[in-house]
Parts: sequence; structure tokens; C-alpha cells
Amino acid sequence: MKKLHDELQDLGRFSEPALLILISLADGPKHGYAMTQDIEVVSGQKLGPGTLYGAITRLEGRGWIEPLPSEDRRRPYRLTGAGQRVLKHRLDTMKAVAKIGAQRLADA
Amino acid sequence: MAEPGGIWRSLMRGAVRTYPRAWRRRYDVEMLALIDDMPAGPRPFANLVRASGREWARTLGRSGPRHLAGLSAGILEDAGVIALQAVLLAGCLAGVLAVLFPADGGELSIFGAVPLNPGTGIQFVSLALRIAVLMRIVVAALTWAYRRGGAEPQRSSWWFGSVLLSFFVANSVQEILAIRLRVWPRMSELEILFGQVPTFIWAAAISLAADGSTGRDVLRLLRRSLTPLTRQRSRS
Repeated sequence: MKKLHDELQDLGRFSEPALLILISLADGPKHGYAMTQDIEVVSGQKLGPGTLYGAITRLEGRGWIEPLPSEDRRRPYRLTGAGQRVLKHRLDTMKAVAKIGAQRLADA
Repeated sequence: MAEPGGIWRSLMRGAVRTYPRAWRRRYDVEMLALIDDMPAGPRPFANLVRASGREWARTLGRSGPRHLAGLSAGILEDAGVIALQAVLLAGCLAGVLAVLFPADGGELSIFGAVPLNPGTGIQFVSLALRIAVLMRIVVAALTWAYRRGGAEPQRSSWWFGSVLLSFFVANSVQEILAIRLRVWPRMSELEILFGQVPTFIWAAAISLAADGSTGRDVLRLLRRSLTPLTRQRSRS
């Protein structure tokens, strides 16, 4: 389990955009523009086109997302099984950290 | 759907052409579709230019010898930014000092001690570039350690550029004070050389702090980077 977490962290400056993309794809395939809109709604962050495709390149390279055939120029992507596992592990970690933080705030 | 045309959209489309060919072969069409869909402007354009630099660095780093990958990628990514910032700051600093501290007799000088002329101007630029190169070496070593360990640096190269600026200001003040206090003429060349050691250590500390790495992170990455690749592969 620890190894999966480290893998996402290893994306360095792309780890946060990568996490947002994985979350965006969690409810189904999306193409680039749909991802940027969804990410803006979910997190309030506006990913630039270079940042988005920088992260997509790395996520695809690691086999965490995969392209689907497209009929026009907009190519949709979907999560792979490995991507789902990485995302789930990361969300579990974040949930645990948030729980501890909230608990400590309540105790203070 | 965003409005069609516009200078920024054209620039953004042009920026996609600056990506490496292999990358464009795979992502060009969908990236251009994204650009056509989204609002154009200076920020997404700048984002594309930076991302293009990163992809070039990544591509060239991969095609070169494995152990140089991190170095070449880091250098290509940062060198232009750092050199430009250093030269600009050198000019600004020299100009401001000359205005604030004019020498007697109408000659411009720094603190009334160092005459400001083309010769000292060149020294400032030279100093800026030397510091830029030294800082770059530290940053490149860290980048190499990260990438050899299969990771990427934690922070943007633009962050390193900002750190360089503050480092340059501090070092310039230090050197100006040394000139004003006339320390240099009393020192041998060897002493001056050894006097640079604290500067290197300072540069290394600032670089590591800017990267957000802890000492343990760096040790772990260095250990991984020194592990022969064959052992890393067999382990994975």
C-alpha cells in the first residue's frame, strides 16, 4: 500500500494535477476540456493546457489512465484498474489525515 | 465554446508546435482541440510555453545517457530563465547603487569606493552568471538524484529562479562590503578561493530549502541514485 502512495508523490510537481485528473475520471471517461471544467468545479483550480497534458502524459506513461477511441479531435481518457487503486489509496490516506486534523482541532 | 481566432489563440497554437515531435505525434490533435475549446489568454499561453520546455527537457533527458538524464533535463529547463534573471538583476542593482551612492567629483560609483564603469558593469554581470552557474550545479545535482531515483523534483524551476535572485542580492551586498572594507587586497588567491566554500554551502542550503526537501529525503534519494540501475530493475 505504501508503494502506491509513493508512486503518486513521485510525479513531483505533477502530483497534484495528476490527483485532480484521476478524481475527475473517477466517474467516467472525459476529454481534456471536460476535465478542466470538472476540475474547476470540484477544486476551484483552473489547470492550464500545458499542465493538464503534462500530467496526462505522465499518467498515461504509468498506465494509470488510458485513451479511448474518439470520433472527433477530442480524445477521451478513462481510469485503468491500476489508476483506480492508486486513487483509492491516496484518498484513503487523505481521509485519515483529515480525520486526525479535525480530531486535533476539536480537542484544542 | 470560446470565441474563435484572436492573437492569443494563435500564439497558443504556435506554442504547441514548439513541443518535441514525438510528443506532438501523440498529443498534437487533442491538444489543439483543447486550445480551440478553452478561453485564450496570456496565462494559458505562458503555461504552454513552460510545459513545452519541460517536455523538451524530458525528451532530451531520456535520449541522452541514462546517468545524465536528470542533469541535462534540469539544465535545459532552467538555464535560460536563470541567466536572464541574473543579467537583469545585475543591471538593475548596479544602476540603483550608482544613483543612490554617487561618488565625489561627479563620477558614479558604488558606496563611493568602486567606480561604476563598463569594466565594473561586466564584473557584475560576470558575478551574476557565476553564481547562476554554481546554483545550477547544486540544483542539477539534486535533480539528478531525484530522477535517478525514479522521481521528479518537488518544485518548479521558476521557484529556483526566484531563490537565485535573493541569493544574488545577498552575495552582491557581501562582495560590495568586502570591496568597501578593502578585504580583498589583503587576501591571497587561495584564501579568496577557500572563502567561497561558505558561499557554496549557503547556496546548497538555500537550494534544498527551496525544493522543500528534508535532509532525510536527500539522503534517501542519493542512496537510491547511487544504487546500480541493474539492481533497481531487478528489485522492481
